[in-house]
Amino acid sequence: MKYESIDIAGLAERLTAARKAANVTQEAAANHLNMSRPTYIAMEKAARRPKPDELVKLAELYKEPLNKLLRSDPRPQQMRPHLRSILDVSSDGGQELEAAVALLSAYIDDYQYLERLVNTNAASHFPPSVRIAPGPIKRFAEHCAQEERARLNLGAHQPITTPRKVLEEAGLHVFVDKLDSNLAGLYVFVPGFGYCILVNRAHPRERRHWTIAHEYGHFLADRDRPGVDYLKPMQRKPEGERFADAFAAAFLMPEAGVQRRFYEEVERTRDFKVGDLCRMADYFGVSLMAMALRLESLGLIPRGSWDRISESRVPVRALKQEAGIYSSHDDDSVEPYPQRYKLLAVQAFVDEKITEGQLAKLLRCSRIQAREIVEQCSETADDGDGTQSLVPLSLTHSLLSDIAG
Amino acid sequence: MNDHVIDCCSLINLYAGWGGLKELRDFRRTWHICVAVLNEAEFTREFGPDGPPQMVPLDMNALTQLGLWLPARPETEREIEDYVNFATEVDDGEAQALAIAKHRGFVLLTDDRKAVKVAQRPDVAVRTTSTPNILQSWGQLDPGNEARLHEVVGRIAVLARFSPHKDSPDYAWWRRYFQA
Repeated sequence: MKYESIDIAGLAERLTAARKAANVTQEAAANHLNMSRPTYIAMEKAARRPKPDELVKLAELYKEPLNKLLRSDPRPQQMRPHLRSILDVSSDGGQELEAAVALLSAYIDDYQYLERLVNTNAASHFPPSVRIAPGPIKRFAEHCAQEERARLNLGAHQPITTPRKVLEEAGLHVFVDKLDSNLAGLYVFVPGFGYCILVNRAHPRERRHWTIAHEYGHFLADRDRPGVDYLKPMQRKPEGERFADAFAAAFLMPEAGVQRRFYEEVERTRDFKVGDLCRMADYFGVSLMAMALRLESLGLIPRGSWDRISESRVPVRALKQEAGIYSSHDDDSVEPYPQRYKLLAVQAFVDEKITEGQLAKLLRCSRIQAREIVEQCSETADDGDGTQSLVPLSLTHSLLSDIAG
Repeated sequence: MNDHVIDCCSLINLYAGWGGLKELRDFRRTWHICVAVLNEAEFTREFGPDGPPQMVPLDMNALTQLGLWLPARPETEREIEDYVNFATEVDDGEAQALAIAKHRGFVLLTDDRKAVKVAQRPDVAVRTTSTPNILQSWGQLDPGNEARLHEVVGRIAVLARFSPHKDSPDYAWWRRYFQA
């Protein structure tokens, strides 16, 4: 493809986004190119195509790969304005949130690019959105969680050990990356693409599970409004936040399952101790606090139980260890992007639509790690002489075409 | 033609195979490397003292200071124009290497199938070579090198996780030295 055939509107949008991400003013960019500011602005407005040498200089200034600026999209999805509105509504904004928004924007951009390369589309049949009913919000959230668990065939009692996988299979796009420790997660619905969540990798597994379920609650109740969730709870939570919290609790810790587990323990030991609470939290994959508050809200343990545990100032880790629970350090094994994203990247590489350098950038890893990922996504086949070689799986190959033929 | 421009994937392969790149000096060739490759910190792997292979960062500046290659960047208007054209299809390092190889008549050393495909187009017509080709030439330079080929190919396969594609003409040669 020739540079001249790259869509100028898409290029202009990418240049603008890259400049903002690099925190460079239009004035500074114009000076860098030794041109007037109006001339530079004409490029961001798609009224003037940058000359090749100007484009190279801008890519260097913005520290953005030239190849990424030149993606042959028609105009990229209007996703950034959605995310920008997070910054507008958030009083706590700041650089940390800007960085998180940029991170999620980049993931979504890459994911859409891969979908176009492999010529596939993400699931578009989402559950209908719910209107928060008047009356007790917790009861309504409980009802919605039960409905969703039933719709997703999760049963009424079982813990959801991999909420990310469950919701990705339901069509959500869940990304996990390191954010500022105050941020729990971001969420945005991109028309034509889907609902995207970015969860803080720096938080423990239990917290990440909670954030994913919480953001799913937002997806059901107010998917058109992007947002950000903080680790520290807001003083007075709006209705949507209260719904998302109650939904997360009921989704991860279903009432029937919690009660069954609770009474099994009480029947066995005629008591329910802090150690039992620790084990139950581990079973449902939630934090000790979330489990205690859930038991309180279901009236199974007295109100204020969690306050008394936290006032004791015994570290949660110590309590868990005493109960025989050891946290797994799973941060390294958590992939930053959905499984489908990874498979699309590998498919694009195997089909020679991208190079190894592009693959490594899309997979956010070194080239050798990217090669290993390709191997993992391949199957071994016998060459006929007893030796094994790798045969990349073709994900787009129809398994039904032989029948049709 | 003795000038070769090295792409990042082949650089990683050869480094992993030889445990360094000083063997490049054994060839009577001038090696070039693009600034886009130099600017991207990359990794290779080396066997740990007792355990599995470990990631090792490649110090590109130190390698350049050894005089193994000459840094290159697209300079003329035509080179820059083609660099941008190639960057619509391949990564920046590969695009620079293709543009330089095309306009200066260099051979492109790459193991990337898409980069090779672009290089072979009639409007590009850049000659290419690969890690297996380089190792074959290196093996012919000296009997001692030939004796090391099993070890070198095995290191590339295990440490750099590289093997030529099954459709590659080098596949059978590679399999003589390494079988999974």
